[in-house]
Amino acid sequence: MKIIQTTLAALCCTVIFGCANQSSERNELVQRYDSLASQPESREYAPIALSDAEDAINNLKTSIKHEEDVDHYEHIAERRLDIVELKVNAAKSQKVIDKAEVNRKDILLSAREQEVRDAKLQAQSYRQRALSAESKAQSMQAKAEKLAEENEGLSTRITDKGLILSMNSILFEVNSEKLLDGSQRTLQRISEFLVENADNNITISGHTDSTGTEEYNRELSKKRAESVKTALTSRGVKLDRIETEGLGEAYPIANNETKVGRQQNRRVEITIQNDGDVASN
Amino acid sequence: MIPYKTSVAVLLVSGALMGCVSQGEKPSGLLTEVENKMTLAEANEAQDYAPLAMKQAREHVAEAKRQVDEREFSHAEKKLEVALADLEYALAKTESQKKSNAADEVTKGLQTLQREIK
Repeated sequence: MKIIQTTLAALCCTVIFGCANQSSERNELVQRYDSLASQPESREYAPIALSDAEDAINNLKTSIKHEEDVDHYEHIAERRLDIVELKVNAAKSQKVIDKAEVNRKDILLSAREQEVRDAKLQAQSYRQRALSAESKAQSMQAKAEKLAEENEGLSTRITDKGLILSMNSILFEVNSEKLLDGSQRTLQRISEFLVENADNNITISGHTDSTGTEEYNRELSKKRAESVKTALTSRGVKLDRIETEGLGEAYPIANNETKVGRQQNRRVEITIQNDGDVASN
Repeated sequence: MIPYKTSVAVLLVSGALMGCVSQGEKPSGLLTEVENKMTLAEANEAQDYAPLAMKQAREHVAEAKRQVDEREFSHAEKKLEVALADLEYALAKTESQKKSNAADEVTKGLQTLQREIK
């Protein structure tokens, strides 16, 4: 009889101890639910999951009367509480995703605004440079025209490439690249003009009329261009600003059938290039 | 005669050990709901994001089906309730993880965009 009583007492203790453990877990779950329920984000982002968790917690509380069901309700309650947390986390991530699209648009808009500001500044800078270049070109043209007026055999014109100073062939010996003595003064004035406008590159182009063979004319025109180049560099114009070319009879500016026309076509042109082709030094 | 204290103890133990006799009704509706949820979870690749919960859910469903076959309906119903909670947990974990990954991606994308623009 004593043994039966002892065994029964031990069984009771085991059951009661088990109940105490279960009670502790149950309390933890209830506290966890209370904590989640008190957080506004749970109510905002996971109202249904929170309601399910509440039901699970209530079932857990009532399961105290049915100890065999406690594990069952604890497991479900734990899952339901986890679900609330996961739903809240998912909603927070979704907010990040939604906000990212707005942020992306903001970044692109900001970049576009910066581009517009940069473009305006650049356009302003181009305008100022264009105005400055135009003013400089006008000044240079006026000086060149004055130079032409003061020197026989010299004329000027404006082209897309730049200002052209055209030297009539009367400055050269006939059928020769040799410059006449009378041309020295003109060349001196041209050199001074080019030194004064030192920022622009120069192309010296020789031209002939259509008398003679093409090859001869090209050769003569090249030699005349080189002669002018030598004359200019010896008077202080920098060598690396100057290119020469012999174009022969390829680019007439007047009718080769007449004497006057042929005379006009025999020429050396000095093109003072626009600011876009500014010399490197 | 059994002493009073012994009688009380016997009653307590009996009460604690009781339980598996009630059969209840066959939980057909709940089984269908769980199976639908399982299909949904599999379609959402929950196996990749919550493998343990999915494993537990499958075991609970298998056990519930066995209990249904043995007409232990109330036990089967409880297993299905647990399976349902497992599956809903697996689905929630999958959704949460996918969105977290997507949020990380877009955040990195924004950082890259900002770097490229600067």
